[in-house]
Amino acid sequence: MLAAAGCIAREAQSAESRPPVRVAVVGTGGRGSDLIRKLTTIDRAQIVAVCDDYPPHLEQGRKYAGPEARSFENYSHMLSEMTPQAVVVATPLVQHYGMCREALDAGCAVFCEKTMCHTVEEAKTLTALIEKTGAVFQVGLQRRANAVYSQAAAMVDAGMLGQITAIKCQWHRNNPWRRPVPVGKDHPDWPDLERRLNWRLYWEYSQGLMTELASHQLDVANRLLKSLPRRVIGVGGIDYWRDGREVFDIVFCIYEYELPQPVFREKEAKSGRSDAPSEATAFSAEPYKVRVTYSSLQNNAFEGASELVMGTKGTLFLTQQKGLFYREYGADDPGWSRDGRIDRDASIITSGKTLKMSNDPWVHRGKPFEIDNQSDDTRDELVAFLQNVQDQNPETICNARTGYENALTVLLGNQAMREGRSIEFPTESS
Amino acid sequence: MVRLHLQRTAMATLFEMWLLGEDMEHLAAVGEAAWDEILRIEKMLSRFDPAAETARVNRTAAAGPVLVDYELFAVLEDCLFWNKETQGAFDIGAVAGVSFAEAVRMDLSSRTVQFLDDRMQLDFGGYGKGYALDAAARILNQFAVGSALMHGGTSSVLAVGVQEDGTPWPVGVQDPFTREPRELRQIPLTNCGLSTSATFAPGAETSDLVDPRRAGPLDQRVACVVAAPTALEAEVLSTALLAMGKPRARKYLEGRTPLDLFQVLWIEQHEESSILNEIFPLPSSAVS
Repeated sequence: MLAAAGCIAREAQSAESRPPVRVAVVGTGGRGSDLIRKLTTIDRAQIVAVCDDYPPHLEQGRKYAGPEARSFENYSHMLSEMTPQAVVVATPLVQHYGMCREALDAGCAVFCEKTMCHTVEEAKTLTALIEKTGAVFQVGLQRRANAVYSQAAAMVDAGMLGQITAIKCQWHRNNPWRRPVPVGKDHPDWPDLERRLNWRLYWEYSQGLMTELASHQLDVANRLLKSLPRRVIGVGGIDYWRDGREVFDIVFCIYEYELPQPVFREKEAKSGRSDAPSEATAFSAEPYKVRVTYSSLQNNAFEGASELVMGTKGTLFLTQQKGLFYREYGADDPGWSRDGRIDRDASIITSGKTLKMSNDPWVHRGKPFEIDNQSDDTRDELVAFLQNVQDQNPETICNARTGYENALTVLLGNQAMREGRSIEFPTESS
Repeated sequence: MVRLHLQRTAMATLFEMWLLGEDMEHLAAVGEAAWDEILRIEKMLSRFDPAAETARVNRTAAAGPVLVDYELFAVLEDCLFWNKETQGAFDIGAVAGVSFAEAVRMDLSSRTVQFLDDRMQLDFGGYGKGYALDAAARILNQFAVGSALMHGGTSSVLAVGVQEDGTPWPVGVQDPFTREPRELRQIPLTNCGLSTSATFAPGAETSDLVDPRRAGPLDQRVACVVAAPTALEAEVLSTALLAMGKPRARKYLEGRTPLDLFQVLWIEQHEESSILNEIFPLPSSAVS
């Protein structure tokens, strides 16, 4: 009888008539407000509280959350007054660890904005805690909910790119990355407010471009390569926006991955259709290396935020809105001198006119296959999270383990740049 | 005093800002914040960006009620207000060939929007630019920037305060129907929005604007310039008055109290050349 009752309860729960998830949002600045607005468009969410210790941001959060949400200036006070089912953490990076812990200790599911933590130790401790308790936890790396990146991962798995040897990730912008302060420089509150609003620019609260921007894109690299890097080297500096900030305004990192030979390459070698060296099968047991470069500039925005995945058979150019797939000219291509409609026995078909090609430097790209994104990935990642909260399913689209690996990747990049040396990644067991 | 010039693309057009102040670092930070606000509004009101809130409503609202955020719901209520206020001349359903007031059901208690006609598509058009400029001006105000000029695609303009020398921001109204640039009038602006709507782009054969009453493109070569307290009011009124046509527009404006900041200019073609007339407030000689 009990089993049957359980089944019925489960059935009822899976229907859309389930009550919405009671959500509290802490941190109602720019990103927090974005998340609040998206949550108010999702049936399965009910914002019960917003929290921020900076009154103008709290006011903004209240406005977007609507009249039913309570508001708090103190996070611990909020959690003592109520127990939301889920807490969304969108505060400065240095606060992520403490706030996630408090919410988890109160029995809440947690959606934590990227990057998961300010230090590797924090990320490791938090992951161990979450994996022990089985809490529902998701890191806000929204490309995990983006159709362009899912399609890209499927294309990589299907071997459409051939063997990937390099990925170039960049987030290039042309702005100071500085938030305005509502009082003048001569006002006594200015120094405090400036550090508070521009927390991204100081090591004490932030890890700079690596945690704020690179985390998204290096997660793409880890996801497509299904691996953590082995080591990283990098250089960074403050070379343009010399305005008192501490974090780099330019970063360049090279990550080295070691991967097993992909299966499809062995198949190629056997079928004799590959341009790979003939001993490919022989050395396929040996790992091969993939280099991932990451750069972020703040004084040139060409090609913006994008990743370029380079394989022996093709190239993927990825952005949140669109992905483009370009084929490489390879040994097994039919070649453009042969018209598909006529006798294929001829090696070359000539008609007296030289085939014309433009001298456009980008002509080699050819016409790409396009992948479109038809949705808002931030809203979609929240929908996915809320569904997992309702289902009590800890296997979120970006769980603590993924969040930890991502934090490790970007934080060791910073360490390499700040210490000016190559940093080895810990092995799996550590 | 220093002047910051910022130009970026959004809403499929070029936006520019000139901000005046004492501290370039502060102006640059405020300019970025104002710019982020314009991008935020584009992400709410665009029907072309699939990630935008409006695009999501357009995709799904014909199938049933769609939950929207508080701000978009308020925007839709405002559009409904203007639709009634202008007797149907301003209609965000016009491009889809349907009447917004008839084709959309809005429910305040559930904050949902539903399309009753599956042709319905929200198209905010110039409303989005006006709304964005007013929102950007609130950011400037919040961070004590008291002098600025902004425009979106040159057709929507907002002036805050005055220039360095204390004079208003001069905006030139160019003949919309000749390829050769010709200035018809210069309008000094202070704390005021201005919008120009023309039925035809220079040299165009058909208009890209739709007459909500006939559900076809507007056919007369006319343009309407409105100066109003906010960029949004200027935008909505220039669009609506143009759709009404001059006789109806005049009738609509009749008997209204002329505010200092509220001005309507009408440009039409007469024997191959463009003439500009003030239709509101009427010149004092015409009133008597």
